[in-house]
Amino acid sequence: MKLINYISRRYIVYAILILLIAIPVFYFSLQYLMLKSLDESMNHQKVWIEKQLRTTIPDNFISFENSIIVRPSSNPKIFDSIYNKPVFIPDDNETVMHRILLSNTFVNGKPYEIRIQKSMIEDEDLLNSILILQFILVAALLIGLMIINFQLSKKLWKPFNDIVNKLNLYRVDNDDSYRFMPTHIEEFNNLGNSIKDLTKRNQRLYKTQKEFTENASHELQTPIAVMQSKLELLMQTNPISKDQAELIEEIAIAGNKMQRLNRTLLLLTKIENNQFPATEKIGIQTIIQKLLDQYEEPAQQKELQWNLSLDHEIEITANPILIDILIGNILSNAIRHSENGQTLSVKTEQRNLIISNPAKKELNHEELFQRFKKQSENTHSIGLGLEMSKKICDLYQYEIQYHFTNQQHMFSIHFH
Amino acid sequence: MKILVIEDEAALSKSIITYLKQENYLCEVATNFNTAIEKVDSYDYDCILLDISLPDGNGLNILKALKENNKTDGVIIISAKDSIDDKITGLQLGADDYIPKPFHLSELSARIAAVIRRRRFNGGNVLVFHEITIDTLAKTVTVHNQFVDLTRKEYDLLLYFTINKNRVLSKTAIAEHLSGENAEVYDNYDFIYAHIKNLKKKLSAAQCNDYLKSQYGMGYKFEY
Repeated sequence: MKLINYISRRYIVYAILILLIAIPVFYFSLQYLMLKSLDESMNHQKVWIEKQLRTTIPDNFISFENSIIVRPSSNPKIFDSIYNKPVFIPDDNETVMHRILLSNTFVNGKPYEIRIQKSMIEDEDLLNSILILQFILVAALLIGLMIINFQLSKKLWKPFNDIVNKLNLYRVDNDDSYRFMPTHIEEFNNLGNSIKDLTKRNQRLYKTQKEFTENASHELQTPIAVMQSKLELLMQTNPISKDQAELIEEIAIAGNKMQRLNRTLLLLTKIENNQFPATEKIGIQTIIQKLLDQYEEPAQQKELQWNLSLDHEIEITANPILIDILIGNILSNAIRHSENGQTLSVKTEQRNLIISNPAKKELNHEELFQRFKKQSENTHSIGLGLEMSKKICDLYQYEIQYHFTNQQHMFSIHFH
Repeated sequence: MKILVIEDEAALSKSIITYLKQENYLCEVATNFNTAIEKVDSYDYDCILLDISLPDGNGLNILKALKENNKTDGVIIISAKDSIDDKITGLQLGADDYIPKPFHLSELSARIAAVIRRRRFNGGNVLVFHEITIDTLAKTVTVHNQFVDLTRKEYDLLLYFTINKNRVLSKTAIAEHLSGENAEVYDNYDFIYAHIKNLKKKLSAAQCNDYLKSQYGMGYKFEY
């Protein structure tokens, strides 16, 4: 939920709550006040009438619209009574709620009843008008506040959104330092500065780490070379027993693996450092044909069949060495992980290259392209091939995907 | 035949020299740029093994100096950098070959032999090992003066064994020699058995002695 919605929702709930309480309270207190003033004015009238009745004859007492009636009373009451009662007004031909005051008085020793009635319709109308007005006012206030809030927040959050957008594009291997939208909001300024520091620190760390990998791989080359050469000389010594030969063989295998690992790590670092800047126009078919020729022997050894459909020419601009590695890794994986006599397929369609080979079980999608996450139990494999392919794809913004369908591993590369 | 090893890593140059001496090469070592330049100026070598990254200079400058003085020494660049640029620049500057570190001594020896062969124009392209004669120019093999029809791989294998005769060659070295960078495509190095078996079959069919011996699991040796 957006922060503005989160806050606004609470504002609205609070406003509605207050309104729900305030409107009846307001309504009833206003009504009470009006009745009170009505009653008071009627009492004043009553006092005035009683005074008047001392000088005039009660039977002659006539008031406007019969709002005051004075007539002889049969059962005089001691107390005044005030109540509401609907009264039919013949002129308007409607029944209207009236406030009625009944009082008794004695004129010349005779009991009289004074009845004062006042229409409450004006008061009701006034009350309603006031209420409507109040309602409109509150609504206008609320809507206005909302609009201001939303407009303001749109403007206020701009620097924040700018930070978020730039962070989304953040790559630790990108050396550019950040330039955020200037803002007067202190919090956002602080955030921006913190992020600048953080990314700078990250970049520095990443660089150190990368340099370490690079240097380590570089420095390892020579001792590995020395070790391998000594081992080769050791092989030539005479006599060598069977046990010694086995030991030497195992060391040689480990040494070879170490060498391949190191070479591949170096290559990975170089790809990450973008040290293959030279690009040229390459036809994917040409590359595949060349690779198939290269891999002819291992494929023949396993009696693999090829199902090729390379009619669709894909042309890209990239570094030929990297494209060789990218496609070569996937092709050689397909060859390595196939069983004798199986059929591998290589297909080009639109901007996609699809290489698939029969397989028994699906590979783990998440770990597939990660460093040293080997999916095969083959000890010969070093677990860097697919990561390298992924890195190359990242470099050129190609999409590499893995699917498992119809008992087939399917790797597809989309060339942009 | 004289070979100059320009390499600052003493342990490695010692290995190279030990291996090459047994092939009757005369070896000299230069451990830094200045010594290397002096030696290259004063003597002629059949082949120079040149490490590019020297403590006091870039090996590529030695190559430039050689070409400026119109020297025709064969040059093989050995580099720890394994960088394509170095390879291309080196070959453009006139190096004969490029071999990235780490390498198999047997592979180095085969490359040196190839460079020297190419540099000697008269008869240098024929290799004789007892009854086996290999013409490296025509890429043909005769046993007792009879042509033996070998595949490309079998021919490569025989040449490799002949150059490194009386040496144990590890399976990895053989596999890498045969398949180059493709060695990784194979699940294992069993594929070299097939080639070796076929080669042995063809040679023995031509009345050739069986020189090719397996050394336990470690590798193979071409010996007499």
